[in-house]
Amino acid sequence: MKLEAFLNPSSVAVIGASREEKKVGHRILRNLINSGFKGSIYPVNPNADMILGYKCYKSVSEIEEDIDLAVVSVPANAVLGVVEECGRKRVKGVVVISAGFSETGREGLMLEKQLVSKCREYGMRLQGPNCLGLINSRIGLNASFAPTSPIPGNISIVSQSGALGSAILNWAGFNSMGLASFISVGNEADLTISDFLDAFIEDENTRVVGVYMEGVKNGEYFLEVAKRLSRKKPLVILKSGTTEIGIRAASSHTGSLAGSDVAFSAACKKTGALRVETMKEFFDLLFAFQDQPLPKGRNVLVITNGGGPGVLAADACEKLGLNLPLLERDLIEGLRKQFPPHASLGNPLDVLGDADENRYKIALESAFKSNVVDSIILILTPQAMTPSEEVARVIAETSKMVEKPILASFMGFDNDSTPIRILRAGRIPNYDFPESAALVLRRMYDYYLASSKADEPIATVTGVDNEAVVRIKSMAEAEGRVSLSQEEAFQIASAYGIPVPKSVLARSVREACEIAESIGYPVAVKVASPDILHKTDMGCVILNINSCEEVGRAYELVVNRARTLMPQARVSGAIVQKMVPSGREVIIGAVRDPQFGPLMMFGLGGIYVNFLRDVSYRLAPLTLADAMEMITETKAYALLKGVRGEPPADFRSLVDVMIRISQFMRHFKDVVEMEINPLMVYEEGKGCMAVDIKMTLAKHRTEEKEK
Amino acid sequence: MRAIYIASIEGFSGKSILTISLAHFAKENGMRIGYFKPMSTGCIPGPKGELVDEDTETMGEILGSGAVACPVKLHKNFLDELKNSRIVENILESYRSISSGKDLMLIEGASTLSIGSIWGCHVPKLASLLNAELFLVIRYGEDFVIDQVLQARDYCRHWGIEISGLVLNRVVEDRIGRVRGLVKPLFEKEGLRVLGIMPEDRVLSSLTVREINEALGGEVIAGKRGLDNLVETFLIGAMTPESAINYFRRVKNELIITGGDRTDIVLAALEAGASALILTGNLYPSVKVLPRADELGIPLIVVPQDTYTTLQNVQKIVGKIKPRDNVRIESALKLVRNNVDWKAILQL
Repeated sequence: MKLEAFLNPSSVAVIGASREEKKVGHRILRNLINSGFKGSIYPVNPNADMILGYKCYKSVSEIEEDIDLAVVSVPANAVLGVVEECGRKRVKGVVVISAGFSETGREGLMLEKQLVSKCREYGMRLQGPNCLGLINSRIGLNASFAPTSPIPGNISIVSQSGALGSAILNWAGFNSMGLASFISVGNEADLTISDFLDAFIEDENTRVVGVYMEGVKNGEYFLEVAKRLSRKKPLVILKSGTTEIGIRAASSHTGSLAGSDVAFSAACKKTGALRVETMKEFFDLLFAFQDQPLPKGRNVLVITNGGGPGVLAADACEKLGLNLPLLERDLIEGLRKQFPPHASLGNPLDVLGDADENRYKIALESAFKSNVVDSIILILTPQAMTPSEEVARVIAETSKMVEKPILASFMGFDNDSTPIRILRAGRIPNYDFPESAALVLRRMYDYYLASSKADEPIATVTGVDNEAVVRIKSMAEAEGRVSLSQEEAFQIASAYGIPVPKSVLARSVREACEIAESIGYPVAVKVASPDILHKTDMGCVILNINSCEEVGRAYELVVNRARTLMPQARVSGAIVQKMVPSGREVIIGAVRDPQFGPLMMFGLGGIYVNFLRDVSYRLAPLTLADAMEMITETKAYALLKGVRGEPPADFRSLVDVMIRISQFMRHFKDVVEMEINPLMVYEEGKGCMAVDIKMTLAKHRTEEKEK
Repeated sequence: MRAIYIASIEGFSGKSILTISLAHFAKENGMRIGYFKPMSTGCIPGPKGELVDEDTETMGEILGSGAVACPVKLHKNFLDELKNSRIVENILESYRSISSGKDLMLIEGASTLSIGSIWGCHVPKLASLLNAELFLVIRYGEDFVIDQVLQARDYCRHWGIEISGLVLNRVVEDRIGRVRGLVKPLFEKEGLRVLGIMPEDRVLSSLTVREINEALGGEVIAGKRGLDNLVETFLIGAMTPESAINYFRRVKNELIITGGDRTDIVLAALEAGASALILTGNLYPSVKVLPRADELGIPLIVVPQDTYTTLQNVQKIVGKIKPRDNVRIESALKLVRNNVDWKAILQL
């Protein structure tokens, strides 16, 4: 087992154990004793002989036995000394509860760095500092100062926030949610969320993992671990900081750049992790995953004793892309014989307001037998004749017969009422409202799809000229520019096999005319200046020119406009470019996310892209399926397929350009942004062409390249 | 003894760049040099409250304080204090004493030729009194400058002085060829020698974070190591953090002004590699960002003013070569060495 010292220690020292009940050091020791830890417990405190009936040691070095885990709760300035002693004692892991480290500023950060190097020196792993501690219910280890101990279960939770962690523990307790492990990671000076996720992959007691986080420490490692974990068990992530105000709050809380929220969502998509928006959704999902099997399809049977709730459930399912199929004919016939004639045997399946447990049982059995039903939402409203306790019991019993998920929605019941307790004991998740149950089923199905998808290879293309790109970039770098000129961007795109229109720099009216004659009309004339980024806005682009005379006038116009409007801009002349025939306009972009690397964007192109926001995102490197999904996720897809009898667009060449950009961004880590807008996509077989390209280089050059 | 008078027709043309370089090159060639600034109009209060001319201080560093003089220091409301009429005599006396025993005197004019007219000691008059050859440094931003130069020529002629040569400065890089091929012959046809055409220099035309901070009087709370970072652009950080990072990445050497509580903007700016941040409203960001700013050497400066006022304030700050500003001095020497016929000016 990975992180054995933390997740399965046989001896624990509590350094800073205290006799005073209000102190954290007392709380931890008491929790450890009360939670029934089977291993040895050693309180350490130089000023006490006995605490809570345990012999107290002056220091760790006095303990005769080997120590696996030390939980440290002493003032920050005493932590280094204590950890040094732990190192000499060959302690394997240290949990530093104490606050006063990097979260407090400069001195704290220095202390934290010293703490980490001290641990490294002795080969100890470190959890925290500034954390709530950890809990592993299977071995009765509660090494935290949380107010309650959870009941054992198969959910493992990792939280970046200690405060939220203790709230989660209490809530789980009130709702009889069983936990396998609970980890508060604190400042993540050494062990990060990802390290614990890694340990849970092979942890037999963990069936589902829930994470609360505000930001990721090491994006690449997280991607790798989250992907491996999601292959084996569901990973449910509640990441806050999704709105502008939220991001601001998270920035101040963690002091690190959260990275863009779209990038995080893209990271979840890439790894198969399930991102949820709210605490409610977080718990709803954990409840379902802890016991229920996965739905193997999108077909849901809604069983209800009331018409209204059935309709609500049907609406929610439809909106979420779940199907409500009819049962097979013979099953319906069977039901018809046993149900009153006015029962509705469609889907929702209305067992009527006077339904007893038997009718529910018959309905459930049909759902089990059916080959078209993948999952069941079972709704019960408290009506006069409804024997809710018996129904709950029937569900709990019959659910064990089959590998199909059943989610209950007993509406209008107290959480502590007998029927709900029966459901809980029978491991049936119950939701206050059917919409929540539908959403949970949808996310379970998403997880089923993600975890059963075969690994697709990263798409690569050949025939790219990396040396040419380096050459072009170095000219801009030599001039101290971060924005590449249009000409440079075109040359780079061309070196990467992205089709661009023929264009040549003209330095005078005469040259412009000669070039236009040689490349053929119609042409466009654009001012050539690395300092002018928004040429169109400044009137420095003239399109559809058809004669030598017009080219000359256009040349003078754009150059003069540039000189008047931006007197300090370097203007080297104007670009004469072959006019690009119009096609369907799309945008393909990539920005380098500080955490997760290149984030690819696709959407409908042109000037409305920022307004419509009809865009999709994925992290590079893309697989062919990723690229195609990016297209199909947007409304642009319908346009590309062709509306009103238009022929379909050239998807192959569009995907090819996306793959090339993905590969380019992965190779050149000093390119922080690239955007083609618009890319004209032509009819199938006729390719596509970039009309405008923006490219930005990093200021501090990172020379490293892809291995 | 020879005297070279370097003057201009507007401020920030680049007189100091030329003067400092000529002093260096003349010194390298074993000449005994003095520096004289008859009248200073841009004095700042010195450590003891006295008025100090920064150009004279800088030249004092290069030539030794005994070889430089600036007898008349004016502030903008000079009439309140300077009522006596011995200004010209003071100038001449001071010049006599500083120039004795020198091979070459470098005289630097005020921003325009006309300053001092009230006492009859404007540039052409002084050039004639001090028997100096007059050179003009011209900021060549647009072609209308030609007219101003010709007017200056006529003005000097009126006082019996011929301009010995022009140095054109701050020419936009890609227009050098045009100025050389079109503008230079035009001046020469008018009897004005063009002795140099200098391109706009990034280091010389940008400010350092230190200069900006000195002007604003802010508190540097982190990243002190980066006080000599160059600043070319000012940006306001008032957008969402996601757009901020892309916005900041597209410019170079940017100073970002934002509300002190915008920790998210601070983090984005640190990530994008800004030159510095000014945090306004006397608000402090989360202490957790300070170590990161230290690590990257990106200064965080807290000021009491609001963001808009701060932007107005920084826009008023202009760069000047200060004593011991070795980065700028090196750039100036390189610029003049490569683009000006300094040997002709020094008659070497």
